[in-house]
Order: sequence, then structure tokens, then C-alpha cells
Amino acid sequence: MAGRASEKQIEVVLAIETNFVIGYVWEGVTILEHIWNLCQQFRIEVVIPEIALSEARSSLMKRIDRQVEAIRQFRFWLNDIARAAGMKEQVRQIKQCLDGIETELQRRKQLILKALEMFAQACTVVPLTPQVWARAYVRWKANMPPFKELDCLVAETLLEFLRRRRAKLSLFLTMDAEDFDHPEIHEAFRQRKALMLFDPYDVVVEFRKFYGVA
Amino acid sequence: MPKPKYAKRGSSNSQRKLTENQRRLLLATPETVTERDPITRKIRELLSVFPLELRRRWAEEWREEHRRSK
Repeated sequence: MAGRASEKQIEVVLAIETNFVIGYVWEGVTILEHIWNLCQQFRIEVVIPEIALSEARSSLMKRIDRQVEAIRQFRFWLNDIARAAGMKEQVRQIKQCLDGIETELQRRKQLILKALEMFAQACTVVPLTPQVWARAYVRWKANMPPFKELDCLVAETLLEFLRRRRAKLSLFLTMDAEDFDHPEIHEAFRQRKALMLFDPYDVVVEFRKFYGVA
Repeated sequence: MPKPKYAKRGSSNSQRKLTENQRRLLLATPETVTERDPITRKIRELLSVFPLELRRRWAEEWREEHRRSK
């Protein structure tokens, strides 16, 4: 991406996951917008696992597809009404409206994809490698925290990234304390000199401390 | 000239040169920041067709699904 800081310039890394994408891109949560803004201003590297991005994308696409599917079901019933009740003309008009709605839904789907793409281009997207996948699978199968399959993939992807990449300050923000707030995960991130945080305001506090304005 | 035995007081953090704008932004409370960066502006523009209520509902639905996932 043009304007992204080179590796040499990066002092701070902020790792995020699905809930940041949903909160910032989709919901427009103020504190997350603020953190994003700070990352842009201070050339902080925002790191996201590919699997987290894909989870956010599929979650939103699924909801649009659900509406498109409802329209298709509706058309099916309308065909039945047209035949049985002899209301061909009325049904034709309704179908015309439905066509318009479906076209609009497809357009909105593209808008979401474009917004997510724009976000992804400004981040470092960490790919899911077979090695990471295997480690995550073992973690999940062994019933180790964060327990859930997707969360294991997120955790292992970030741990692998942070093993290779050392910044002066590395933070991992997840608002999912329920799944991630376990001593084993804290320790794994600590070993990679990274701090796991659950409250976005704490990220701002860490940034302030790092830049010496606390 | 020999090196001083002890480093000067103050961490390297305090030596980071910040612009006035960066300093102001860092100290601001999120709710009072009115200017958005170009990416946020563009994203908000793209998604403006979706009502806030719908965006919140879908986000909550996702959270609930994630909570129930294994």
C-alpha cells in the first residue's frame, strides 16, 4: 500500500482480530475509529490474521445473502399465487419491485467488500500457513485456550507473526476476554514481548506511555 | 571525550519528537475528535447506505454466533 511505513520505520505494532473489523469497519465504534486514526497518524503497523478478516467478511456476506434468499423464496410463493389466484398482473408488478431490491442488495454487497478491501490494504494481513494451521489444530484438539477453532487460528497466526517481527511496542487488542483472557495466552504473548489488551481505551493509554505524553 | 558513566535520565520515549497535531490527537478523548482519516472517511461513505440500527444488530448477531461457536 502506498504510504505504508517501511519495516525499519515501524516502532509499534497493533495486532487485532475479527471484533475490531466488525467494530470499526461495520459499526463505526468511536473509540476504534480513534485508535485507527492514531495508527494512521503515527504509522503504527496494524496486523490482522487473514482468517479474522475472512470471518468478518463471511459474517456480513451471509447476512446479505440471507435477504437475497428471502426474496427468492418470496418469488416462489408469488408464482404459486399467480397461478392459483389468477393475479398475474399484480404478481408481475411485485416481482419487478423485488428485482429492484435484489439489485440493490447485490450493490450493497459490493460496497461492503470494497470497504473491507480498503481496510485490508491499510493493514498487514498475516496469511494462514499450513504450519500455523497444524499448530492451531493441535491447540484446539487438545482443548487449550482460546478453545474455539477460529480463535485458535487467530492466536497461532499472531504468535507466529510476533515471533518473527519484533517492534519496540507490540500490542494485541481483542475485545473477546471471554475466550482469550487465560494465563497461558497472556504468557505466550508475553514471551513474544507483546501485551494482550481487552479494552480499547487501554490501547490509547499504552500509546500515550510509549510516545511519552502519559 | 569519554562516554558518561550513566545514561542521561529520561527514557527514549520522551525523546520521540511529536508534532503538535500528533500530541493533541494522542491526548484527545475519542468523543471529541471530529476529524477522520481518509480511510475512515471513505469507509463511512461506502457504508452510509446501511442504517446504524441494522449495523448494530448485525454486529450483535455476529457476537452472539461467535459466543456460541466451538
